Formats: sequence, structure tokens, C-alpha cells
Amino acid sequence: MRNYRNSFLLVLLVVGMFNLGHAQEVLPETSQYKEPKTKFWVNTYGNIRIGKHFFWDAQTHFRFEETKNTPFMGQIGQIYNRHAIGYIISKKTNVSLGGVVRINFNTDEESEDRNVVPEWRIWHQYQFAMPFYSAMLYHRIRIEHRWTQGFEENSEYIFRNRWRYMFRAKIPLNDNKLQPKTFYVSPEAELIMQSGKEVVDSPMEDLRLTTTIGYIATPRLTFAAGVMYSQGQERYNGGYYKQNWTVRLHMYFSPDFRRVKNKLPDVHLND
Amino acid sequence: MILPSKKWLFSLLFAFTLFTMSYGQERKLYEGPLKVGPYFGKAVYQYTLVDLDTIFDGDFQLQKSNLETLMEKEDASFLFEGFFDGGIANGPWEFQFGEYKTNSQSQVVDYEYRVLVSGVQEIGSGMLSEGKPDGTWTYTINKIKDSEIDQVEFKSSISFDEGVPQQNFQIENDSSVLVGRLLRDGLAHDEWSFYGTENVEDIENWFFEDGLLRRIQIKSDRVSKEISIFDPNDAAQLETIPLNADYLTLLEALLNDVEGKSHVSQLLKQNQGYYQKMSEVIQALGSPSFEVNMQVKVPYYPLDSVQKQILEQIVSDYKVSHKLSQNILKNSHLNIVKRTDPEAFFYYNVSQKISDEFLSPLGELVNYVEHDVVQYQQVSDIINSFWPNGKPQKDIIAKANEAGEERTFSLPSANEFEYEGDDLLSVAALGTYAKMSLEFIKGSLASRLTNEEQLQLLNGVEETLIKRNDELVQEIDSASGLSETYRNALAQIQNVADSALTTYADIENPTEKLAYGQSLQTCLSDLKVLTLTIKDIPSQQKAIKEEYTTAVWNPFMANVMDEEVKKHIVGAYEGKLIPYFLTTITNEVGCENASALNSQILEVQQNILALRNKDTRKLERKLRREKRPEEILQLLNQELTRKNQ
Repeated sequence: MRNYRNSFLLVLLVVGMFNLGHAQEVLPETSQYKEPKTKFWVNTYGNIRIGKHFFWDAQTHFRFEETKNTPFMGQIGQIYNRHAIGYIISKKTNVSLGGVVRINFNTDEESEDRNVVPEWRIWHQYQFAMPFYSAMLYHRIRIEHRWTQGFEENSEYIFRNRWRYMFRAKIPLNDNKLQPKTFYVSPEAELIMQSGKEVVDSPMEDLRLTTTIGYIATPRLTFAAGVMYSQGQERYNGGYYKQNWTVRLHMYFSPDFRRVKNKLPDVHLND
Repeated sequence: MILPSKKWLFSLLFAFTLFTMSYGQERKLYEGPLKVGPYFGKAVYQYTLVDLDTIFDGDFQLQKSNLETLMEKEDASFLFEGFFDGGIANGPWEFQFGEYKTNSQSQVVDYEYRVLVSGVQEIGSGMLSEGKPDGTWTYTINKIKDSEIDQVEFKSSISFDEGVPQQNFQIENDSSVLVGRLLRDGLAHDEWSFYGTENVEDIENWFFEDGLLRRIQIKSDRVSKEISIFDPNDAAQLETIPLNADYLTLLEALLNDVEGKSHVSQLLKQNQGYYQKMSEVIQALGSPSFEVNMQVKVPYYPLDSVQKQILEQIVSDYKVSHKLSQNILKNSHLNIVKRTDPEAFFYYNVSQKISDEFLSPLGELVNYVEHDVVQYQQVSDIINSFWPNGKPQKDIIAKANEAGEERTFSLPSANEFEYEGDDLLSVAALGTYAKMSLEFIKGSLASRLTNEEQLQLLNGVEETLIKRNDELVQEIDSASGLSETYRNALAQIQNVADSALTTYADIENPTEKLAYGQSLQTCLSDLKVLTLTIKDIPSQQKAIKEEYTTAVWNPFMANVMDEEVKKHIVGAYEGKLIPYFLTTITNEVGCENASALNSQILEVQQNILALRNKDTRKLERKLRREKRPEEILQLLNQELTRKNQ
């Protein structure tokens, strides 16, 4: 109890210091939008089948962001490793549970603090697909339990929950079905809410609006590229909104290393 | 002289005679098998014996139906039922003919097993009085489906009075009706109307005046035509004849070229056929035959004895010529020889022309003679209808070679023939010219027809060769939608067949010829099989492609997609082996390897399909590097032999 109080005080102190440093503890009269930042993400998504119902979800993202001289990809921002074990309930429904370790790089060029800090998450996700004419619609609920720390020496981890809902469509362009040799367009919207002791007046962490164009090369390999606009409240002051323009490249791959005889009931999961 | 005192004796004698007669005529019953004409079945009938002869007298029934054949395939059943009076049909009669099938499902109703049948049932029924139709006769054909009448396909209804048809009659089939009128003596009279029951626009009317058909009105698709048939003023005399097949032949001749087939004529003919069917049964039972017996009048131009003699000569010449032309045109050896021998080619074509231009009109005339209708038309009209553009020239021009050059044929004695006139004598001269020309041609071709003995030996072989070559050509010609490599391969197969046939035709020694011909039979059928296999490659390719396509669940799209698997195997087949097969055939196919090439293609297709569900990683790795088709074939074979061990 005592320990807990101590750490709580310490966190308050740190937050207070940070806030003092930014001198933004008072809500502005109207919401303030910051100048947008430009970013560049290269994301790989692996979905490796390990059993009739199980797969290994392996994602690695490289996230760059602008520097004063170079927009989009002047410096590395985060390297992001997301892993999970997924369970295929049906062709249209699956769930996953796993962890994330994210390496955050200090992008503040003037900062004297540490250059690299890790961030930890436990996450679980529920995905539903719905065929709609020739397109597919997807609902994704993702819940993350997240431990982050600042770049300052000896800074403590803070804990937050993230509540994410994403709606996405994939609409084939040169075909009436999503199948190999098909281009598709995929508009998506994701709302990321957060909660936790540290979250006082900034529950909306991020609203991401993205459009990508994808190409299904084979049933096991897809490429996509798109642009994302996002905005969200600053954690330290909910009156301030950060904005980002992000160019994203994606590669989706789904190898299956099972032996031929184990593969056979590939489609008919429930038969 | 009978004395009054002996009167009682006379009465006694009379009574005795009567008694013995009636004793001899006591009816007996027969039950058992009976064959009547082509009908063999189970009979029940009453009869009397007169001088050891069986005379039908009383009830008669003959029937056949076989449950076993019905269940197996289909059953042809019949039932004839009626009465005889002293051997002559007298009383109500019914004739049933049935062709039934069953779906082999039975049900039990009360104490009976029932099977439903489908098929066709024909029933003719009416009264026979002293063997002649009397009263109304109907003949009906019903289409039966599941033991119920599904459709009436034909129905005729005719009233008779002692064998003479009377009043109105009606004949209908599933789509049209013919209604007509007859006078008391059976003569056709007034308007006979035919109309479509579904398409009322189709109308055909025959207008009779006292048996003489004056005109026919035909209306179809809103186009109306009127055709004059007989004019009483044209002919000096009229003759009454039955409206039968002969009369209809005459009408067809008159309608010829004007208006295809007459619907009325067809219905009448159909009806006559059914009456004949019934009559044949009755006739086979010893009762007089009967027929529809409608009467018509026709103009009559009697032929004198000279004309009749000329007609006989025309018929006999025609028969000889027809046989000659068939001998030449159907001669299988000549058919082969003419491919390479221009002389044979030319004579063959001349024979063809003679057959078309001389013989086929003569054949029609012979048909008229056989139907005995020549005397009902003007001879000059008949001749002009056969050769509307004039008779064929004595100089017969025909193709002399494949290139299309022409040559003229005429008999050396052509000048002696004059057949320009429009009398029977000219026609006879034309017939003789045709006959002599064919005889001349046959003489000219004699050396090519080879002698009869060899011909007979080779005939069977050659017929087969022609047949197989025709089949091959048909297969090759019917190939469509194939790319050039395919077409080249097929063309080469055709070349091989052609040159082999030429080689065959050139062989003179009969023993060698027979041996070669026999091997050529096998060769042609091998080539045909190979052709079929080549034509089938695209669909085999598709089947292989389908076999090597699997459904894969894509986790990112959450749907199922088709995935091509083992692409190197399919790729080697499509990219290397098929072109290899086709070029090999184009370059190397012959009688000796056609069969081997065919099996190779089929075997590879089988092999590829067999490799689908096997572990082929090593093979795929090797195939990725291998470009040589022969090596690929070897790899595939090795793989399978390895797997089979």
C-alpha cells in the first residue's frame, strides 16, 4: 500500500513536471489542432497456420517519421513486434491473444533523455467478416493492456487500456471476387479510446481514417499501400489534438508449413 | 321327277342332311398359341371343322403381352378381338397395338400388383359386315404416360356402308385436322379442309367436283397459293380410281416443285397405312382384306400397246443403267484409284453426271410406271417436268482433275441418238444413251476395276479403308477452335493417311496389296484415335489444371480462394510437353508410330493426374531447372516408378 502510494506520487510528480515543461495544464477555450506530422510505416503481417484451428499471428512494423529536413521518413520512430496465437472459429470469425513489444525511439531531436525505451502490451482481438455483394466487410475489436514509459532516466511504467474498434471494407476493383490477381480498394476507420488512471481528459487517443489499394498476388501473398489521416487528444491535455499523415506499405503473407495430409480439411473447418 | 307317294322320303332325306350339316358345324373352342402373319400370341377362338379345315366361326381373340420384357426393356403388345361367321369377319372388331415401357415401380392395389406403363397405344375399331367395314370406323393413337392418356397423336373417323366410305370423315393428328366429304358411291366431293389446330393460319383445301380434284389452295404464313390440278376440259375421258398411294404419287408429281409436301396427302397416307395394318391381320385370318376405299376421278390418256412396250423398255434399260452406275460410283477400289489416276477421276465424274442428269429423272418415270399413273398425265407434261430446262447434252462435260480442268465425254456413236422430242420414244433413246455410255465407261475402266476375283478379295479391305478414311477426315475437319500447332499436327495426320492410300493404290501385286491394305486399316484407325486424343488435349489440360487447383482459406480476406499447386508440374506439361507432342506429331507421325504417340500422350496425362496427391517436392525442384521435354518425360516416369515401389 505504501509502495503503491509512493509510486503514485512519483507518477504524479513526473506528470506534473512534464506538464510544467509544456505549460499546458489548463484546457484551452477551444480545441487546438497541432500541425500535422508526416509518417511512413512499413508493415508486415504474417499469419502462419500451425493447426487446423490455430495460427500464429506475427506482425512487424517499422514506423518512421519526419525530421525537419525530411518529411515522412527522416528518422525511425518505433519498431513494433506484435505476436499472438489465433483461433479460427469459422471462415468468417477468429480471435487472437498475445503480446506486443514495441521499441520506441526518442524522436525529440533536442532531448537529452534516453534514445530507446521498450513498451509492453497484452492484447486480444475479435474479428468478424461479412460478405457484402462482391466486397467483404470487417469488424475488428481489439483490446490492449499497455505499459509505457517515458524517455527520462528511471521513468516509471504507466498502465493504460486501449479500446479499439475498426471497420474496414475490401472492394475488388477488377474482378467480382477477392481472389488472386485482383486489385482492391479498402477504406477503413478505426477509433482508439483509452482509459486508465493517467487518462484524465483525453479518452480519444486516435481516430484513424485510411484508404489503401491492395493487390492479391496469390492466395498466400498480398500487397497494399495507402494513406492514413489520424487525429487524437494529447494525453496531457485533452484540449490539444495531434494530427498525422501517414503513408503505409503493407505485406500480408500466410504460409502453411503443415504436412499435406494435415492440410486437407483446409476449408471445411467445421465438417 | 318326284312322285307324290315318295314325298315323306324327301322330307326325311332333307332332315337328315340338315342334321349331318349341323353336326359337322358344331362350334368348338380353341385355346392356345397361334401365329397370324407376324403376330404370335395366345388365342381363344371358336371354330368349326369343314372337311378337316378349321373355319373360324364365332368369337375370336388373339393377344400378347409380356410382363417380363416390359420390366426388362419394353413390350410390344397386341390384342385382336372380333367375330367370324363361317370364316368371314362379321361383327364388331377391335385391333390394338401397344409399345410400352415401365418405370419398374409397382404398387399393390387390393389383391393386384400394378405397374404404371408409358408408351404408345393404337386402337382401330368398327363393324365388319361380310368382311367389309360398315358403320363408323375409328383409328386412334394415344400417347400413354403413367397408364393415362397423355395426348391423342392421331385419330381418324370414317363412316362406311358395306365397304364404301360415306358422308363426312375426319382425320386429325396432334397439330392439325382434315375434314372431308364423300358421295354415296365413295367419290370425294366438295371441299376437303385441312387446318392446324394450334396455328390456324396453316390451311390446305382440296376442291373436288364429283371425284375430280380441281384445285388445291394452300395457305401458310399468310401466303395463299392456289394450284390447279385437273381440268375436265383437258382430258377426253375420266377414270375412277381408288384414292390410294398411287393417286397420291400422281398428285405429288403434279404438286412437285410447286409446294413441297401436301399435308392432306400425308394424313391420308398415314391413315391408309393404319388400315393396311388392320387389314393384314384380317387377311392373315383368311377373311377378305379391306381398305379405306375412297374413290377419285382422274383424267385418262390411255396408252397404246407400243407406248406400253416402250415404257417396259425404259424400265428395263433404267434398271441396267442404275446397276452400272452404282457399280462404278460405289466401287471402293475405283474410289481409291481416282485420287491419283486422272482417267479414273474423269470417268467417275462422268458417271456421276449421268446418274444425276439422266438416271434420276428416269428413276422418277420408273416410279410412275410402277405406281401405274403414267396414263393419268400427258406424256409431254411428264417429260417436261423431269427436264424443265431441256434434256442433258450428249456431250457430257466433267472435271478431269482436282485442279478443275474439264473434259468432254461422248459416245463414239453419239450421232445415232436423237432424244430431243417430248415423246416416250425420245425418253427411251435417252435411256439407251445413258446405258450405253455407262457400259462404255465401265469398259474403259475395266483395267482399273481389276478383275472380279481380286476385287472380291480386296473389296472388304477397301470398303473398310474408305470408311476409316472418311471417319478420319470427318474427325479432322470437325476440329475447331484449335491453335496453329494443333492444326499443323492434324494436317500432318491427314497427309500421312493420304499418302498411305496413294501407296496402296499404286501397288499392283494383289498379294502385296492385300497385306498392305490390311496394315493400312490398322494405321487409319490408329490415326483416328490419335486425332481424337489431340482434339481432346485442351479439355485434358483443363482437367489437369482443375485437379491442380485447390481451395485455400485466406485469413486476411476471410474467404476461400483457388490456388494453383505444384505449378512446375502443370507448367512442364503445358509449356513443354504439349508443344513437344504436337511438334513430334507434325514432324514424325507415321503409320508405325501413331499408336505409340497416342499412348504416350495418354500416359503422360494419367501420370500427371496421379502425381497430384503425392509428395513431389524433389520432382518439382528438378522440373524447375529442366527445359528438355525428353528429360521431363523421363523424370515423370522415374517419379512414378519410384512411387510405385
